[in-house]
Amino acid sequence: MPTLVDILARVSFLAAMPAVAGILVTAGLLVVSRDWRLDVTALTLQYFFVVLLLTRLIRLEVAAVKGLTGWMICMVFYLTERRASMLEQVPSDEEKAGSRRWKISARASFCLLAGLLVSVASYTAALRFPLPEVPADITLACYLLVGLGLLLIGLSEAPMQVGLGLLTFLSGFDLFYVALEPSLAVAGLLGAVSFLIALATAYLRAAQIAIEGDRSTS
Amino acid sequence: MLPLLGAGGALGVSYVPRVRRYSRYIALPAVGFATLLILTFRWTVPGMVIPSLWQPSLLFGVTLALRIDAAVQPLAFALALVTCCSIFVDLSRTEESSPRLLAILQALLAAGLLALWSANPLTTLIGWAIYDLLQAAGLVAAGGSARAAVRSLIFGVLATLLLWGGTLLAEDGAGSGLWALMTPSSTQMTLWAAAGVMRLWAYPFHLVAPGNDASPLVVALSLGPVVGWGLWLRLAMANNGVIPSVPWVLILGAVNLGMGGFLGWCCESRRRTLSWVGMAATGAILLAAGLAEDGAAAVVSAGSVAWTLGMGVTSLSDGWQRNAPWWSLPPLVGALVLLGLPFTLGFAMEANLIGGLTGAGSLGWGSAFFLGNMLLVPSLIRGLVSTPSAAWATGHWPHVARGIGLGLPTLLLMMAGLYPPLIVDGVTIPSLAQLFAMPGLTGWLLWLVSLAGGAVLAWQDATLCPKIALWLTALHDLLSLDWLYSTVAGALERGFGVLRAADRVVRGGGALLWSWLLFLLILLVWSSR
Amino acid sequence: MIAGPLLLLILPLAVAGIVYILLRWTSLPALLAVGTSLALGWAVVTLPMDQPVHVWGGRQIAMGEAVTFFGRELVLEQADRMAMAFMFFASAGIFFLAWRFAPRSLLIPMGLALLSLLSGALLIRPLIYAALLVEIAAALSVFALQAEGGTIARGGLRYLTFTTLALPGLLITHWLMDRYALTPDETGLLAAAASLLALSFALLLGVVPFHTWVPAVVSDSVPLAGTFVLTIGNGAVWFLLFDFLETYPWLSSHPRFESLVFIAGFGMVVVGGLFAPAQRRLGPLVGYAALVDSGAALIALGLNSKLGLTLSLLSFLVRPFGLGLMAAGLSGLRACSGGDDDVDALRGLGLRAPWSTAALVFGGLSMAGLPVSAGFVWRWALYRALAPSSPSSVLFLLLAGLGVMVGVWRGLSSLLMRPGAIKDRSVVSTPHDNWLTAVVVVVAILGCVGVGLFPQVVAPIAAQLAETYTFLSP
Repeated sequence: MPTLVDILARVSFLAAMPAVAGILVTAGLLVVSRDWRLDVTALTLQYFFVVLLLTRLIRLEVAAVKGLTGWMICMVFYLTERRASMLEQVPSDEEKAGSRRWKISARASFCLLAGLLVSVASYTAALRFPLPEVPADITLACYLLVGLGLLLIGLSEAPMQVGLGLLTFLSGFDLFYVALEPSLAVAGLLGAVSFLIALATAYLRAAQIAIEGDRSTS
Repeated sequence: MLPLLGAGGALGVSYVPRVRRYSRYIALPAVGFATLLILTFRWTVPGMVIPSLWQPSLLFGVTLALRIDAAVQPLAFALALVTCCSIFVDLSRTEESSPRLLAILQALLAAGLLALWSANPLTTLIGWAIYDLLQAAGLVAAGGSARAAVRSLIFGVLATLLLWGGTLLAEDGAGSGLWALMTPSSTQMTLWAAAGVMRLWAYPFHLVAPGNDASPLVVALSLGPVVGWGLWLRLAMANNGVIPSVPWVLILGAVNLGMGGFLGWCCESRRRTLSWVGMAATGAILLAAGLAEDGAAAVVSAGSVAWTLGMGVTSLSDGWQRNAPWWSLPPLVGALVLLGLPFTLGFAMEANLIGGLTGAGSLGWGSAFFLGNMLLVPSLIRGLVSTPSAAWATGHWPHVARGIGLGLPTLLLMMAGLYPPLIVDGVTIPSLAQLFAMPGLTGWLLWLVSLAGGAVLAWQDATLCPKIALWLTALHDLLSLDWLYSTVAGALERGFGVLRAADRVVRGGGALLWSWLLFLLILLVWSSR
Repeated sequence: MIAGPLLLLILPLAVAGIVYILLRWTSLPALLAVGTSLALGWAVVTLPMDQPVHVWGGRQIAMGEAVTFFGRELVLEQADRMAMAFMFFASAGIFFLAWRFAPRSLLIPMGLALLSLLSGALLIRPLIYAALLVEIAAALSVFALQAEGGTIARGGLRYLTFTTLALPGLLITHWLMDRYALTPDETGLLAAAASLLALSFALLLGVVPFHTWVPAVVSDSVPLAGTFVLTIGNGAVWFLLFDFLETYPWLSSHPRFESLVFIAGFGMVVVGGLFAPAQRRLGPLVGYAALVDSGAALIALGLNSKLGLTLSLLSFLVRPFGLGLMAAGLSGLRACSGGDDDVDALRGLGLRAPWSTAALVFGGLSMAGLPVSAGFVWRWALYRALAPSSPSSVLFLLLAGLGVMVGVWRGLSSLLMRPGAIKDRSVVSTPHDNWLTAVVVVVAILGCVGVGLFPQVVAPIAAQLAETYTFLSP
C-alpha cells in the first residue's frame, strides 16, 4: 500500500501553478461558501495543495506531517459541524434557500467580488514584492492564502469562519516561512498553533450550539 | 488614628445585632478624645509627620507628609468639634442612627484632618480623595439620593484634578515644595483657586451640598467646604497672606452672597434654606478675603471657623422653641454668627468685608452685599421659626447630651466673638476695637440699612411671600440650576451617543476590516508627510 | 536535582490538571491555584540562583540551572525572576478573586496552564520560540474566556485573531536579523525588521487601530479571564518586547523609536479616553480603561530613558489591582442582573451587591489613575516626568482618566438608584454578596489602597527590574 509520502511524490507534478490555482479556488470557496460541508472539503483540498507546494521547499516527510496536521484539523471541523447539524433539527433559512435552487445570495456575491479583488491585489503584490527564498508561484500562493484568509476573518464573526480564515492565513505564512526557517521545532510549534486554533474555534462552535439549543428549548 | 479606631469599633459592633445600638457610645469617646487632642496641639510646637515615605524619590519627588500648622489648627478643631457635637445631639434623639453612618463619619473626620494637615499638595490630593469617597458613602448610608452621592464624587474629582494640574505646573513638575515654602505662579494660583471654589460648594457648584435630612449626623456630611477652606488658607499663606488675585474670585464671592440670600429667601424647605445661607456666608468670606488684601489669611481663618461652627450649631438645633426658649439660644447665636453681627466670631470677617467694600467703592460689590445681607435676615428668621421639632428623647442624660452638643459650639462662638484670638491662631487678627473701626461710617450705615431692610422683609414675610409665591418658586427653580445640570448631562449623553455609534461600528462585526482600513489610512497619511 | 525552569514549567501544568478534575468544588481548586502561584512566586524570588536548595526527601532545586528542551535552552536570568514573580503573584490575586467571582470556571485550570506557557516564553531562547509560545497561550486563552452557558466569547476570538496576525512579523524579524548578521551592508533588512516588529507589537499590545480586541476581551467574556489576558498575557508581551529591545539595541536607538512609541501610546489614550465615557455597558468600559492604561505605559516607554522604563514596569505591577477589582465588580454585578451589564439593567443593584459596587469603584479609580489607589502612584510619577517636556500629553492623560471615571459614575448613579415609590424602599431585598465575597473584596481593596498609600512596597521592585535592562540610557 503506498504511503502518504509515495502519494505526494506521485502527484508532485502538480506542485506548481496547478497547485496555486487549486489554492485560489479552494480559498475562494471558503470565502464565498457558508455550507460547512463545502468548507471542510475546500479546506482539506487546500491543505493538499499547500502540502504539494511545501514538497518543493522542505523534505517530503516533513511536508507530509504538516499535511496530516491539516487533515486532522479538517476532521475536528467535520465532527463539530456534523454534531451541530444533527442538533439543529430545523434547517436554517439559508440552507433552505440553498437546497431549493442554486441561487447566489447577495452576501455570496459580495464575498465573491471581494475575493476577486483580494486575489488581484495578491497577484499585484506578488509581482511587486516578491518574497525572498521562494519561487514566484509559491510567492503568489502565499499572498493568495494570506489575503483571502484575512478577508475570511474580516467578513464574519462566526467561530468556524474565523477559524478557517486563521488557518488559511497561517497556511500562507507557513508556506513562506519553511523556506526561511527549516527548523523542525518551529515547524512542530506552528503545527501545534494551527491545531490549537482549530480546537479553540471548535470549542466556541460547540458553545454556540449549546446556547442555540438552550434558546430553542426555552 | 483615634477616629479611625472608633470607626472600626462602630463598624465591628454594627455586625452584632445585640450590641448594635451601643455603637454611638464607641464613637463618642473616640471623636471626643480626638477633639481634645486637637485642642492641645495649639500649645505644641508644629512638627512634620511622615506617614509613608514614597520611594524611590526619583520617581515621586515627594512623600506623604503632615504638618500641624497654627493657621489651619482652628479649622481642624472646629471640624472635630462639630462632628463630636453631632454625635452628642444624636444621642439625645429618640431614633437610632445607623452604626455604619457613625463609622463613616468618624473616618470622614480622619480624612478631613488629613486634608487640613497636609504639608504638600500630594497629601492634600490623597486627603481629598479619601474624603470624597467617604462623603459619598455617607450620603448613601444616610439614605440620600444616588444623584447627590455621585455629584459629590464628580465635583470632588474635578477639584482634585484641578489641584493636581496646578501642582504639575511647578518648575520641577512635582509640587515637591511644602505648602509653607511654596511660591506658586499665577497659573497655578488660578487652577488652585478654581479647585478651592469647587470645594467650597460655591455657586454654581452648590448642588453638591446634601439636602433635606433632619438627622444630626448628616450635619457632619455637610461640612465638605471645610477642606476647601483649608486650601484657601494654604493659598493665602503661600501668597504672602493674600488670596489668589484672580478677578473672578471676587465676582463669584459677590454672586454667592447675593444669590445665597435670594435663594434662601425664596426657598420653601428649611434644610435647603440653611444650605443657601451657608452659600451666602461662603460668598461673604470670599469677597471679604479678596478685598482684605494683606489680611486675607485672617479673614479666611476667622470666617471659615465661624462658618463651620455657625452652620453646625444652626443645623443641629431645632430653631426657635417657644416652650423651651433656652434651646433657642444656640440657633440664634449661629444665625448671628452667619450674619456677622458684632460680638460674634463672624464679625471679624464682616468688618473686613464692609471695610473693603467702602474702601473699594465698587457699586457692584456693594449692591451684592446689600441685597444678599438684606435677604439673609428673613431667610434666617424663617429658617429658625419654621423648623419642625425633632423627636428628642426624654430623661436626664439625653438633655445633658443635647446641652453639650449645642452648648459647646455656642459658648465658643460667643467667647471667640469677644476675643477672636481665642480660636484663631497663626494669623494676625485685628482687635475688637480695630474691627469696629474698620467699616467706617458709610459701611456701618450700609450694613444697618440692609439689616433693617431685612428685618422689615421678615416682618412682612407672611404677607408678601404668599402673593408672589409662584414667582419666587419659579425663580428659585431657575436659579438653583438643577435644570442646567440635567441639560448638560443630557447634552453630554447625546454627544456620547455619536461616539457610541462609531464605537459600535468599529468594534462590531467588521472590526478587523475596519482596523486594517484605518491602518492603511494612517500609513498613507504618514507616508505622504 | 530539579532545575528551576523545569519546576516553573511543569508544576503549574500538573496542578492545572488536578484543579480541572476538582472543578466541581468551589473553594478547593481556587485555593489550590492561589497556593501554587504564591509558592512559585515566592520560590522565584527567594531561592538562590547559584546554589541548589534542599527541599523534601533529599531532593534539590537549582533555580539557576539551565535546561535543554528540544535543543532549545531554558534559563532563568535575573531579569526574568522579577517578571515571573510578577506573573505568579498577579495570577494568585486573580485566582483569589475568581474564587468568589468566577467559581468553577475554566479560568483557574487554564490560567495555570497559561502561566506555564508564558513562563516558558520568558525563559526560552531564541525569541522566536517565545513568540510561538505566546501564540499558543492566546489559543488556550479562548477556553478560559468563554463562559459556560454564556454568549460566544467574541473577545477570545478577536484576541486570538490579532495575536495570530502578529506572529508572522515576529518570526520573520528573527530571520531578517540573522540575515543582517551575515550581510551587514544590507541596511534595508533593518528597516524591514523594525517595521515588522512595530506592526506585530502594535497588534499584540492593542495599539490603535488594532485595539478592538481589548474591550471585547473583557466585555464579551468572563471578566476575570479578560483581566488575566490583559495583565499576565499582556505583561508577557511587554517583557517579550523588552527582550527584543535588549537583544537588538539598535531598535531603541532608532531615531523614530521615541516618536513612534509616544504616538502609539497617545493614540490609545485618546481613543480610550473618548470611548470610555460613551459606554453604557460596564464591560467595554473596563476594556477601554485598560486601553488607556496601556497607552500611558507606552508613553512612559517613549521617554526613552531608564526612568520611562521604570514607569512602564511600575504600571504592570499596579495594573492587576485596578483591573482585577473592576473585573470582579463587573462579574458580581452581572451575576446579580442575570448577565446583563447595561446601566439600565443595573438599576438599584448597587444596594443588593454593595461589595461588587465598591470593587468597581475602587478599580475604576485605579485604572483612571486617581487617588487613592494603586494606579495613582504610577500616574503621579508619569505626569511628573512628562510635565516639563510635554504638558499637553499630561492634560490628555488627565482627561482620559476623567473619561474613564465618567463611565464609572454613570454606572454608579444607576447602581445606587433607589426604588421610586416610598413603599418599595422599605422592602429589604436579599443581598447578593455574602460575607466571603465581602472579605475577598475588602482584602483586594485594602491591597489597592495600601499600594496607593505605600508605593514603596512595589516601586523599588520596578526600579530594580529596570536596572536589569541595558538598552536605554539612564
